[in-house]
Amino acid sequence: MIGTDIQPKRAVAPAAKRAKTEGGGGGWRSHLGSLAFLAPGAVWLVAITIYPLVATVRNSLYDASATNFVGLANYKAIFTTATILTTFRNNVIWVVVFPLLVTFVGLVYAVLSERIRWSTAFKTIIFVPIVFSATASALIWRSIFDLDPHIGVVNAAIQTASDWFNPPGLYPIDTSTGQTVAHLASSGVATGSGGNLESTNSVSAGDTVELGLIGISPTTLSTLGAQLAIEPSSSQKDITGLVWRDFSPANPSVRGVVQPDEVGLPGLQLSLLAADGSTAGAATTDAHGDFRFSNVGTGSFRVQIDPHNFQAGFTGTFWLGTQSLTPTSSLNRTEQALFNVPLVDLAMIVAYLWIWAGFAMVVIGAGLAALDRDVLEAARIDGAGEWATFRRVTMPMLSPVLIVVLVTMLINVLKIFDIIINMAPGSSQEEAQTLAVVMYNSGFTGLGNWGLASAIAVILFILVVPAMVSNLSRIRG
Amino acid sequence: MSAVQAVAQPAAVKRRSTFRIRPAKWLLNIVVILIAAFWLMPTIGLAIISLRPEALFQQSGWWTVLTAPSQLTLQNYQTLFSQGLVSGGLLDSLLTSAEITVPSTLLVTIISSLTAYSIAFGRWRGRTLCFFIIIGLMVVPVQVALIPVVQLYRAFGSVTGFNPFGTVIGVIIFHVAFGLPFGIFLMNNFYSGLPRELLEAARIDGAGEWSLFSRIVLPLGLPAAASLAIFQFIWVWNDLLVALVFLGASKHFPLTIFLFDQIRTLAANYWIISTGGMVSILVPLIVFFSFQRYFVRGVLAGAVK
Amino acid sequence: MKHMNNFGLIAAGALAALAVGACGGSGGTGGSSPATTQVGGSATLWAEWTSTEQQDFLASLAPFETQSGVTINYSGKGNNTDTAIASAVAGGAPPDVALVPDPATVQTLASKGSIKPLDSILGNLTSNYGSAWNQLVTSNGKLYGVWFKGANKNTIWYNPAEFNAAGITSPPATWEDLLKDASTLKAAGIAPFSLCTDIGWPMADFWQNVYLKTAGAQAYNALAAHTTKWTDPTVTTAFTTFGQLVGDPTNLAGGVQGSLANNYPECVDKVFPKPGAQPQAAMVFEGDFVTSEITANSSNYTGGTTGAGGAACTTDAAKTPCYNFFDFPAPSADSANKGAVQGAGDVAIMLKDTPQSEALIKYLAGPQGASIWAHLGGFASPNNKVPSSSYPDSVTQADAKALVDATGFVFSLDDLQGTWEKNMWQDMLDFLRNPSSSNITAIQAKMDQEATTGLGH
Repeated sequence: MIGTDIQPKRAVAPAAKRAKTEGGGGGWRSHLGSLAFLAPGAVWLVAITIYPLVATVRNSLYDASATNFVGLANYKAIFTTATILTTFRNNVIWVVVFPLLVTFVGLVYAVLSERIRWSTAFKTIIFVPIVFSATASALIWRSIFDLDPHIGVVNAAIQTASDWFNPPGLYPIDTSTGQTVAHLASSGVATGSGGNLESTNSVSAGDTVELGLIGISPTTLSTLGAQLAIEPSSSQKDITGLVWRDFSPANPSVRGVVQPDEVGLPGLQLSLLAADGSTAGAATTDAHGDFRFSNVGTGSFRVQIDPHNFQAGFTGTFWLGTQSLTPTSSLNRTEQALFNVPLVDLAMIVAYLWIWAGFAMVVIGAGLAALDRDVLEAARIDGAGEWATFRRVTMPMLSPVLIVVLVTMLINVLKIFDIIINMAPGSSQEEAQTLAVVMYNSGFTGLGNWGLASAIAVILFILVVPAMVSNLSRIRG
Repeated sequence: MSAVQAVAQPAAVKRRSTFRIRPAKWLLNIVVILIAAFWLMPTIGLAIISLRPEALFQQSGWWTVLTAPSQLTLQNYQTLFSQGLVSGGLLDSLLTSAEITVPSTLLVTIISSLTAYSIAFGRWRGRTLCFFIIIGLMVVPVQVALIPVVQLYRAFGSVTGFNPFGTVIGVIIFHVAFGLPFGIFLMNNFYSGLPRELLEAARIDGAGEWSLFSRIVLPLGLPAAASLAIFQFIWVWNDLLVALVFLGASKHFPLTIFLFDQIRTLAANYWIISTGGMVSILVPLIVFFSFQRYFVRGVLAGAVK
Repeated sequence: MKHMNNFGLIAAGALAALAVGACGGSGGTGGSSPATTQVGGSATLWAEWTSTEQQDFLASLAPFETQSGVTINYSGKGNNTDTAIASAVAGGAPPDVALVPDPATVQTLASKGSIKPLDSILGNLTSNYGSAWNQLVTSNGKLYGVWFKGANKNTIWYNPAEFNAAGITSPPATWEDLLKDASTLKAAGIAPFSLCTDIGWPMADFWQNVYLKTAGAQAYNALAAHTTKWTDPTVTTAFTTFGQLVGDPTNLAGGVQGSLANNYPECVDKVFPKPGAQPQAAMVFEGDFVTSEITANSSNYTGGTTGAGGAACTTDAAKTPCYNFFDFPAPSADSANKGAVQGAGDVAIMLKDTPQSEALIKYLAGPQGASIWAHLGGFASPNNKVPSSSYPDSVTQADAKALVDATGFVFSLDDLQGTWEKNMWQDMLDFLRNPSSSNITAIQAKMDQEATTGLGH
């Protein structure tokens, strides 16, 4: 967690200045004392940071056990491995999206919090997740994005909304398995021209019709209180019938005949369709699955099982899956590796944003607080609108702070590791992995390929060098 | 740290806003309340999950507790804590986390202070260069040092018989090294702001470097040291990668590995994961809130030039 | 595989709880156990088992120590057994006897002359094992190992209550029967399979079994060694056959998405849930270590087709739920492969020829030690002299029988693929996401390339 200070300019300049103005003086004794103080830190840093940096470069030119020289073979392997394209793509997604997003959110929050009375409480609430580990955040958000609407908050919320607008029927089909009403038709019924289940035969007054369905789970039956199916008796002016579950545990392969242990399907809403397609009547099945359309008059009809009986409920979106946000399904493998934006990346970015937005907000908030209000007032007096003032005056004045946040987050995100290995489920790991994840996996799991892992570490280091240079020049200047 | 300075900024100080927004105050407040609620929800959700019995996890969401508060129970905590110090258990991992974090924090704070003193007040050539090297080191990723340090530990082990790999000490050594650059930077910033005259006066009186450091600079620098300690504590407590590399195969490992292990192998046992997660976040939360004021006071003091 | 050892550990504890009541009397009955004469002295013994399994193993060695007077110095090496033995042999200080989890190690050591042939020592004890087992540890016509422990990955686990609700009275015997039963389950409104995906290894295990049952043990081993290419038609057949089941999302609980969200062991919980949750599918495939997950979910689970106390199996895990398995079915055209079993095992080898190690090897080849551990649970032995009564319930009995009767025994193919194992797992997930025949061709080409790079040939 590097919190960069926006005050270093003022802090360092005096020190550097003093260093130049003071002469070499002081004598032998104070030099030794100074160096004695320096020694522990210096030795520690050289041994564990500086020397290893050099050693890693050396290791990257050696083989998996770091004993035989292989030259640039590891780097070659990196750039020719198919999965590395995916890795770079993920790093690019993180680097392009996250710093900008978090800075934007931080800016919005900072501006909002200026205007409310309870800003300290608000800022604390937003800031606090920074003390949680990325591991803890990953496990929290993994549960939030869980596929099962009974567990995951997001899917539960969507399900509540979906159920409210489109309430599921008594016999909802399971869209997650690709089930359709056609799968339910067993005997006497088939999907008609409108895509709804209709009786295969036409019926008229005095006829009975039996419609058999399968794929109805025992749980649904017991919830709805289904009773044993009773064969319908005909009635002169009416059309009577039975909708029943055409499955008998005693004779599981027999279809089409009502077995003694088969149950009716209660609560199904049916429509009587005239030959021209218009609705001539409605009925609902009773606990035994029986129904009756009374006084149907002349003509032949079809019995339709209304589609809303089978209205599917929302079964959950796999937020942690590899479904791509970009339309890449027609591309080949290599192109897909480059252009896919897996859904899981989005979910992880949200989880990471939850941790870091507070940091951005607080740093930008301090920057806002330090702004010279008079300049803003002057702009306003000159007639500049709110938005124009913000864009032309405020933002440029804020830009040093914004850059600090952007650069800090950029460095942070290049090395992103914890959130990925904890949050992406097994099947999404490869699609979600980043350089740091691959470095760990190749170096420290399985047989361990130190050459390859070191090469990846070198690449990571090269990627942070621009940020390093930017920091140095900022502090020097 | 300006970061937290702003957190502590009293709302009473009326500032003219950067952006004058027209919408009514009440609308603004609602938006902000919604944002705050959304931000709190994940933590509260985790807490509630850890307070529900295991069986309920897959049946109904934690939000149902609002209508059925009698669900709440401490049994998950009881089960995990009553395991005692079984290796790889929750308490054992908690202890290991503490064993790693506390010494790392102390060492970083002390050594940073010493080194920063030398850079800020020393009169040797190359100070500025060292300082810039340290700034450069601040962004170096840990990946760059992992493998060579493992090799180093092994070499050390073959010479002295003690191989720090797989021990808490090995992790501490690594964490201290990567905490030093930022620590030295922070302390140096603070020390440079101290009045030179104080030190000159003491030197004229004949005080040696050590008493200058221990009697004047260190006490004055306590606020900055405190803020450094807190950052370092939280960073090491929350680390996963370094712990995985050095303690991944050990019998005792910190909380982050405990959680990682649980998620990777038994993700359905959310009662363990949520309980462990709560324990893992409670410690830095307590540290943050207890030292927030001291932290802020120190930052404000250090910021006054 | 690391996870298998972990679950073996839990299996020992969990099944022990079940087993304790079921077995009466002391372990180890008759059979052709060799008469152990007093030998005295000591022997060093290495194996992979630590913690609970170590205790169980030492318990099974106790009668040997008493009867022969030999003191056993045991050391458990965990996942590093093969490496430990290799370095010990290289360093010139090997143990007297060791149990290794990998027949390839036996072959390597035999070819180097680091282990001793056992034919003359064992005599007719070699008949305690089927030829499929002995073949695995024979090198240049000489036998080098005795199998002690086996694991069966040829098992499809099902919830008997769900099968009953669908009127399926006996588990499927052929692949076609399996598909038919899947249709029946769907007609009954029950999802047939809960598919484990995780990072791909359960899919690989599943596919390997399909390959074994369609192509046979010999072809399997040729593919594992990459003497058969992955672009071979037998591989295509295996994918197409596998696709008959998993290529139809209506066969999978939650469809493809729901399957991809399944880490192991969540997929097991969907068939054998904890009390309070309903089963979401009727079958799940994985090795016999699944039982430890089931019994950990609830102690109400009984192995077999009747619940606790003889009550009927219920889907309600709070009452009398059951679990059972059937052997992975072969297509009826490939019924010759019915007895081929994929699994794992630990084989005892002799590194130093001493009277103590000879006595130990003879003991390990007999049924006595195996029976003791069988009683304790979490254990199955390919030794055909181990009595069925040693096993605590019908499930473990059937499990062991499948091992004993195996006409061909193969080890997990993916574990033999070295560095490209993880790529293989990923390719299996790729197949699940798109089981079309064009994708199968593409995946096969990719796998062959990965195999060449990963194995070096």
